[in-house]
Amino acid sequence: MDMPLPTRSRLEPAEMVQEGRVHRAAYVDPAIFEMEMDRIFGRAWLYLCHESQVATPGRFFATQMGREPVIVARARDGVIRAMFNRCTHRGAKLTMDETGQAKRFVCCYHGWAFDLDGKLAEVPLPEGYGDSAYPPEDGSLDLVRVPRVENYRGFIFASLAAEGPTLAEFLGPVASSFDDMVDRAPGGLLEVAGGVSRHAYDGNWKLVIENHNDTLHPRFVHASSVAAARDQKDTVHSDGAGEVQIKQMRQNGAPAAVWESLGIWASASGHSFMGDYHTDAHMAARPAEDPVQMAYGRALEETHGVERTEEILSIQRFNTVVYPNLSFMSRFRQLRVVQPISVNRTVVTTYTFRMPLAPPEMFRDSIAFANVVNGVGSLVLTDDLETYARVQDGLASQGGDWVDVKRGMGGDANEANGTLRGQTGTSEIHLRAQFAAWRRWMTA
Amino acid sequence: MSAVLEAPAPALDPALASLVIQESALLDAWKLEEWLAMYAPVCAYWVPTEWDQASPHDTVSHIYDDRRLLETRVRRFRHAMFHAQKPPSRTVRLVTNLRAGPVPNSTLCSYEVAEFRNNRHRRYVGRATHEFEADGAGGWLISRKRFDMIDCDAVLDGISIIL
Repeated sequence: MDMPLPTRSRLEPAEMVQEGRVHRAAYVDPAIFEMEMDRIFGRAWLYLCHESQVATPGRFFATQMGREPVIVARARDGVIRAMFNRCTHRGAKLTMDETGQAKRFVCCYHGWAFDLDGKLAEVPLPEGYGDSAYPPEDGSLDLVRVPRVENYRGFIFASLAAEGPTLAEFLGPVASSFDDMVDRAPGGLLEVAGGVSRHAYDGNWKLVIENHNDTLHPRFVHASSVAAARDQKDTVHSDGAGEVQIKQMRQNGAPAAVWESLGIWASASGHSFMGDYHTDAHMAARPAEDPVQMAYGRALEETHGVERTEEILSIQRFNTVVYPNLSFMSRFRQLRVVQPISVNRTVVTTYTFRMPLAPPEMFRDSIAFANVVNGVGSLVLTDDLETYARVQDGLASQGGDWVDVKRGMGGDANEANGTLRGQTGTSEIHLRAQFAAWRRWMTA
Repeated sequence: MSAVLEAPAPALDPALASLVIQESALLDAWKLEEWLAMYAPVCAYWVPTEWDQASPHDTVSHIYDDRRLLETRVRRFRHAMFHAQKPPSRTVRLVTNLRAGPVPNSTLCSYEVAEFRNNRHRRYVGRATHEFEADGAGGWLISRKRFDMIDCDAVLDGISIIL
């Protein structure tokens, strides 16, 4: 007897995003995932690294753009390029190191050697390859370059598509969050430092991107760490690390009115940022009158002058999401890159930034902050990761086909900076913006 | 031949050895408040992200708790909405090759935590260093526990238990 099999994707991508709702196939269908890798990650501007990670000639950084392994390297001419991490001979990956210093990239298999700009420089025993000259002079066996690389204030992005909007057009109003991060650093100097936090979860890549500007979840997801931190006696010894983390957990327990009054802004490209909910000035652990905070203020004034410093410090942003897969905290100098592995597996890599001209205590605070926000053993993050896995499990069920993203719908307001602002701080405006962008990428 | 193997091995203090065993047994038994009582008023519980990581303050860690945060960590286990512990984990710890540690009043051991939760079996394997200080009453308190996992720099899933 022929029974109709349940179809996994009954809808085309264009039909999966409807007013106030999204079809679950966007999260659970492996075919949709492959399409996302082609149409979104294969074309959008993706963050590669910060220029401090490839500061001098020979420095390289290996990463992924969707499914594609790439090497970002600064060549002897000072130019930063992105190339596929794949030997043009028989296809082996050229480097397994995530970062390092190289004179050339030499393939482990048959010794083909590529210059830092990707040019095939040397082929051992070239006579065996026949009559034509090896390496060929026409560059046909040079490493394949990622077609477009651009740098916005030290943040390096690339696109696998040869044509499309410029990085500035793509970023639009969220470029201001990168400005915020750089302007807050005395001398405009930032460098990636302090190691790397990595975590994985059993869920779709979109879940973490959706959660970072979700201001309604902390009171439920983080209830246990909020309560445990609130009940903690501050007379117990801390070397500073616990103090930063406990303050952050308590902030997550801010009253509903605080979250509702926060701003949340989204742009047509699917990017978004939220206002900051920290009541302390400028760093979770340090009030404005703290000597370190005051020294920081003086260092900023040396760069910008008093008036401009005041203006810079008045900007209150927490998370900024650059669709599809970058999320960063301009005020707390944490940057997270979301790497999709499969439809239900995702890796998040977090980088912490040091301000070389700021008081060193601030970097120590940043390390403690990184541990509570992005550490796999964090009292906070563990409940987020558990939640992503539960959402993924639930969406695999046929007990309902739609995800509801209506919160705050109809109240979105146009802002002068080209964004839409949510009716309240807990609006799901960022989800609607992300899926509007998703629909455009997936159908165009 | 490495210097470590050539140096005469200091003797393992049996009192410290039994405390390492007790510490791991209390965690397996989920007697977390009793476990916390084994730690000194100024203490650290540390799981680095880098092999041979020098400092918890200039490099990120999977876990770095001072006494204040460690108390908070333990308290959270008693909260009804600790989602990452629903269902709770079952654990068994293996302490082996226990010997005197790198500094006075310390131990070093090979350490494995086996965890079963939500139909998944995970293993955390590495070397654990325990440092002790006198408690003033003839006994010892743990002043520092450091667990260096062999996969400390790997991509890891959330760790909701105390290792």
